[in-house]
Amino acid sequence: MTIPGAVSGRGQGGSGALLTVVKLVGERQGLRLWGPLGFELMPGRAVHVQGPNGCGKTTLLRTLAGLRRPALGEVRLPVPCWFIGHATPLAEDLGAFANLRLWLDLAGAAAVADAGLHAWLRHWSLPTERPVRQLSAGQRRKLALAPLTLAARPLWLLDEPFDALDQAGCAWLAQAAAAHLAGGGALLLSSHQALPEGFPPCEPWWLGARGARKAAAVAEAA
Amino acid sequence: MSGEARLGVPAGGVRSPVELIDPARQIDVAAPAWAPTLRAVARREWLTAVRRPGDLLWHAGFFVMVAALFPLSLRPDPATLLLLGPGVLWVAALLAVLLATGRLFHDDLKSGWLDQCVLASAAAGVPLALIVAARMAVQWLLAAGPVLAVAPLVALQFGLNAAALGVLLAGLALGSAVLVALASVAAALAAGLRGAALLTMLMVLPMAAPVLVFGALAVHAAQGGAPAGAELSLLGAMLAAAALVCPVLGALALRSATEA
Repeated sequence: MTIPGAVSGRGQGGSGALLTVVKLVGERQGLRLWGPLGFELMPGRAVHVQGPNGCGKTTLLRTLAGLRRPALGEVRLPVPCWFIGHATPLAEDLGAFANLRLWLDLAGAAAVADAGLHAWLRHWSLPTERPVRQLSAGQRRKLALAPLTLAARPLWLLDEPFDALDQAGCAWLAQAAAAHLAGGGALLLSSHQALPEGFPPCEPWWLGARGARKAAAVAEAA
Repeated sequence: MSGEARLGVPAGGVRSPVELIDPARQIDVAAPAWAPTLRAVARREWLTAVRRPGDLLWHAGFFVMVAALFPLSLRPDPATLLLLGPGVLWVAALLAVLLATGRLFHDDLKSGWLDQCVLASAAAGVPLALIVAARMAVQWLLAAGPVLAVAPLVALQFGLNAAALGVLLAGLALGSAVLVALASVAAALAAGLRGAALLTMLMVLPMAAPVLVFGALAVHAAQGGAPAGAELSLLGAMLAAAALVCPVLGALALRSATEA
């Protein structure tokens, strides 16, 4: 296992890693945000990226998902992943069910049955038809996280998943994450808050100008 | 990079047994893998528009208002109206279509839906241009449909004969598709910027001029009893070129919009 922050010399793929990052550098408007980063996410590994506002957590997650071209370096993502961003990709005028159905169809998970979606919505007593604009922020967040469990994918990239989520929602996410990791998945999330109780232990990473370091190392230096 | 090839392989294998699989749905998974993706893009657009019928009415209403105010402000003389009719109808239709398309990608970019489209295109191997083309096709139905539906009524005001009306409708159907394609590219370029609707107008109007010229000429010709085939063919040629080029350009613009 490589140490975050250290440049990975190996990781030529084929090692079973769900995500391999080599000498990755993140930039915004010509300014280096972080890096070079090198790491491999092996099955069962969970990472919690932390850092002050504007340190490039979202940029890192978007780069890993393939939405941003890295300024330098390479991201290898040999498995399908879910990237759930800070914004909720929901159509305001459509109901919860239509939104989930369309999202899953778009993402190539059309095999998930309607019954599964209905069951999920019933479980959270979310209205099926009411326009999503009338739902609360927490309810919308739950909807945005729904694909994680409805259609399993080995890698989760979550940007601020606990935002506006109530206690039951956090507990659900913790449980889902534990099952995901136990099932050989990996996850990388960013969050300002401490992880909720019951959430599987995550390696804390501190994202800063000198790359990602273990938060413990930062604390020791301070 | 061999990424795309490898991405496809585990898609079936990694699904957890927890996932509920409905046999009826499995059949359409066996169809081209990207059919559900494109259908979802088109359906979302369609359902959203149907939930807000006011917007559709407003596009038709705009067309009617502009086209109906002209005869009132001109000399009420059939010869003048006949002369100006085709041009006025085309300008009104063009503005109505552009108005409808100016903010095409604005909400999608803000809500992160475009991110999911880009990710889906990479994961399912669907070219983003096809996704953009699906959006354009639905947008054309939504923007041009209401205008085409009320055009015969408005054409009455200008005393267009049956042949001219037929040519007007055919020309508008072709021309509005070109306009939607051009405006979608402009909307993709301006996505996420303030004043996107205005920018879209500014970018599209110069390029829309040929459509306007040939569209109005066709109606004039039909009114004078001359064949309008040449003008309509030119509009068709423009549509063919736009249908090929615009989705690719739109996809490039959207990709850079999601990178921001």
